[in-house]
Amino acid sequence: MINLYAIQIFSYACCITISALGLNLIYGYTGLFSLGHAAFMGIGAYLSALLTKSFSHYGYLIYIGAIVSSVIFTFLISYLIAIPILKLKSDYLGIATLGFGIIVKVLLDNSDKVFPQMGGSRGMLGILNFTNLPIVLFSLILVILVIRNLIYSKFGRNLIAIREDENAAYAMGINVYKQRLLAFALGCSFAGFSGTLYAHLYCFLHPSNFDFLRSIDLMLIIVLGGLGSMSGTIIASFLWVFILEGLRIILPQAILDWRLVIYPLLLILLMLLRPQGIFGNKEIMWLKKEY
Amino acid sequence: MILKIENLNKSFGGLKAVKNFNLILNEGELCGLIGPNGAGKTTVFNLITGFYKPDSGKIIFQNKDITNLLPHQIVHSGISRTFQNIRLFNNLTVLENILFAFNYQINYSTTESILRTGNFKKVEKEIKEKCYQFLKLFDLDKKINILARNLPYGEMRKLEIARALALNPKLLLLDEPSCGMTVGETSLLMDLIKFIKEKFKLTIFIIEHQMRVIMNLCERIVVMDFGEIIAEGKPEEIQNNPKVIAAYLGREHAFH
Repeated sequence: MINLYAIQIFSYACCITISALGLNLIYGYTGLFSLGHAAFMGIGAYLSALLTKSFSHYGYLIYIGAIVSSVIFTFLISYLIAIPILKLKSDYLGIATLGFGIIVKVLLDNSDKVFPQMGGSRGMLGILNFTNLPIVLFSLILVILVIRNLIYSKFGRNLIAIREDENAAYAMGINVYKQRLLAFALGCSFAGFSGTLYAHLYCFLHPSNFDFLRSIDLMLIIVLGGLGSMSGTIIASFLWVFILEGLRIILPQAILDWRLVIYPLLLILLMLLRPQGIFGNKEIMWLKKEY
Repeated sequence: MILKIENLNKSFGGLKAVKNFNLILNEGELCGLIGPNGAGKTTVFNLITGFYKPDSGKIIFQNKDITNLLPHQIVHSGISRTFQNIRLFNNLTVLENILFAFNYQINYSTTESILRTGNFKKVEKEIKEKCYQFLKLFDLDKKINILARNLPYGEMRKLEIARALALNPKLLLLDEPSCGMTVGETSLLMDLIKFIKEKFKLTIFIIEHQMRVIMNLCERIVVMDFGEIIAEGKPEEIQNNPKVIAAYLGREHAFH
């Protein structure tokens, strides 16, 4: 049964996967603990929505323009943010990115004071519906390909070296700080990309879609799938979306809210049974290592 | 002269870890650095390799001032090191450990790696071939797919030294390579160090605690105590130097 609802859920899962793959690059491969990933998704979503709304008469041309500009913009913004905060490590970096996420949320909540069409905490309405199934599928495959090719090259090997042992990475002649900056900005630009797709899929944006709970959802997905595994991230993203939606269908109306209890219980169980995530750091099919 | 250190100083809070350290290393030399625990030997290594910034003083390598360079820049200028507690990429295979060290010699761009261009494939193939050759040299070619953490201790050390050599250094710094090794493993290690010195035409600077190793290998020995050089010379001179004996066995007045 393929109906509109199913297609929308599937497209949403693709968006989440793209974003999660970005976070996997940041945390799974480079080891940078980031709790502000959804904020970058929000930046990309709002920027592109603003663009397509303002120049709607250009049709698909402005959609493509919006995708490109939000990817570039999130890359630049996250690079600038990263310059001071990447001096921090592990948990402290997590707190700093969390803080950034909260700032973005507050800014979006009050955005209507500067840009009335962004709607602030009432949400942004009337975004054109450009995103469709072929576009998200194509985007997802493109992102997977790009990330896979990056990971199995000099760039990815530098990141993995940094994650494995920072001092050894220095001793291998790797410019640790610069590589971290690049990895962080690149991962965030995938979030920006995913935000653009998301905005033009649901045609409605609300700041709470990009608050820190969403960042934690993304973090859950990559830990669940297995850190540093693309296959794991992809599978976990789809499982996460489908289980949450599936419970909505299966459960009777009276206990619908229980899905937010059942789902964390599933998480706890999985973490107890497989602490390394569904895939560990293994890959399947053509995502496997070339060496 | 390959390395020249002038008046190097480093303090941690009130502790003077390295005081007025002066040293000249000649090309092709195997020089040892010894001293009691806490004498500041590893600090000297960390200063040379840029892991610490010196408070004052100068480090000149191949007529180039490297005092304020960052660790990765120092590696590029031709100094590589191993660590006292082995720092391999434990969760990666033997092959990957070497492959990662070859990274800085790779000259394709990131765009080329995304597009998988012909040049990318060619360079990757060459690098992999180089890795196999390299591992063969160290007798590790049968273990390429074993995770580094699953290697026996002696081979971990060997892999770490091989990895440092993959960076194509002119000067190799070995920080207590025989630390934690059995007598048999130590003998193999000594053979390995002699072998790589000839094979790669290296200058080697080595910190060591086992006197057997240091007396056998080194042409010249520098002795440190409390951050200062207290003696310098040939192994037999050092063995009979009263200052050195005092540093290791306690000051003479301590016995009175």
